[in-house]
Amino acid sequence: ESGYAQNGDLEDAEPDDYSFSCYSQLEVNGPQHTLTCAFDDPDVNSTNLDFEICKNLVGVECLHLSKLQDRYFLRTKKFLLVGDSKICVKLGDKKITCKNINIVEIVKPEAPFDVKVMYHEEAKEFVVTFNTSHSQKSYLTIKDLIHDVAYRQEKDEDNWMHKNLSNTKLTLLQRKLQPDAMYEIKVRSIPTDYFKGFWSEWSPSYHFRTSESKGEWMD
Amino acid sequence: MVLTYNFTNCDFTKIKEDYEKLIVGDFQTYINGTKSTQSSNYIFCSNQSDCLAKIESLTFGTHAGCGSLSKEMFACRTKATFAHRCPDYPRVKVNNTQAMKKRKKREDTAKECLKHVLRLQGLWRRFTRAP
Repeated sequence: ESGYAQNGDLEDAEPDDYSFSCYSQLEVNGPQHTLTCAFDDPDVNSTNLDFEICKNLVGVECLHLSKLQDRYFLRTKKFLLVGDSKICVKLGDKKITCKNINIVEIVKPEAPFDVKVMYHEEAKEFVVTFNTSHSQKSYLTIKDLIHDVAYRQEKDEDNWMHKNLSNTKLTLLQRKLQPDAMYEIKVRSIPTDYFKGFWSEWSPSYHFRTSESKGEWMD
Repeated sequence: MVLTYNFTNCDFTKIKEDYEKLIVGDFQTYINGTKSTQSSNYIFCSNQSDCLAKIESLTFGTHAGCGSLSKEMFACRTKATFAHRCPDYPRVKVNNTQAMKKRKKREDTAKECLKHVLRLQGLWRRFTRAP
């Protein structure tokens, strides 16, 4: 049983752990940013609990997050993005636990998309390209991201190979791949430099087959 | 006598980052939202603290034909940057609870304000390159 009875009195049971984590996404919907928070313990009794963010907001002192299933969510243009804000879990007017968080340091980029692989016969190489919505944004731009390209032979379940890059084009040499093999490739992004935060979700995967042609292949 | 804050002890590196990563985008959004074209004469500033003093004056002062720019997003962010990167930046100057202005400007006001915003951009660029 959780630490709080419905009327807010503390019970003898071990107190619930109300620690939480949040991530932000910038300019997700035009100029609007989002903030998503969730309790670290999925089993915590979150009845009557609310999340609120204060400080370093434009034109208001605090903003309230709305509850969506097991998450708390806010969409706003009012993040100043400079300096820490204070995010609190509240039970009515009572602050249960709070954290000082800088919105630009908990950023989760949007997933890359449009992954394509083109085979260049003369150069005997595969050119991987992909797109990111961050190329259109004002703040977290394409210059502020590092991308992780992961690829594997489809039959090699866990044998992912990774390449980190800061642009949206990668060349894979044919001789580094297996001949006549099906490959899967996907991409994700993480903020770098001024912005900090978390990996995005993976892009949808792209599948391609290497040719059978002789020539020097990986042994 | 109006006391002007002395920007000498500010964290110029962090202010430069805030400008290049955030405030640049705000200026672009403002200019894109202003349907008029305008040229402007630029204001000189000699070093980084001089640039910041002129940026503060131009950002938060009032201007004939334009009024105040202080409720624009780039101004709110400039204020937040000063508050966080400049020791003892006067609290009284930092009042984030001013609502951001809903920008429905008349054509002539928009033109006049754009002139000042272009000057501000020039001062910020000068700041990022100043010794």
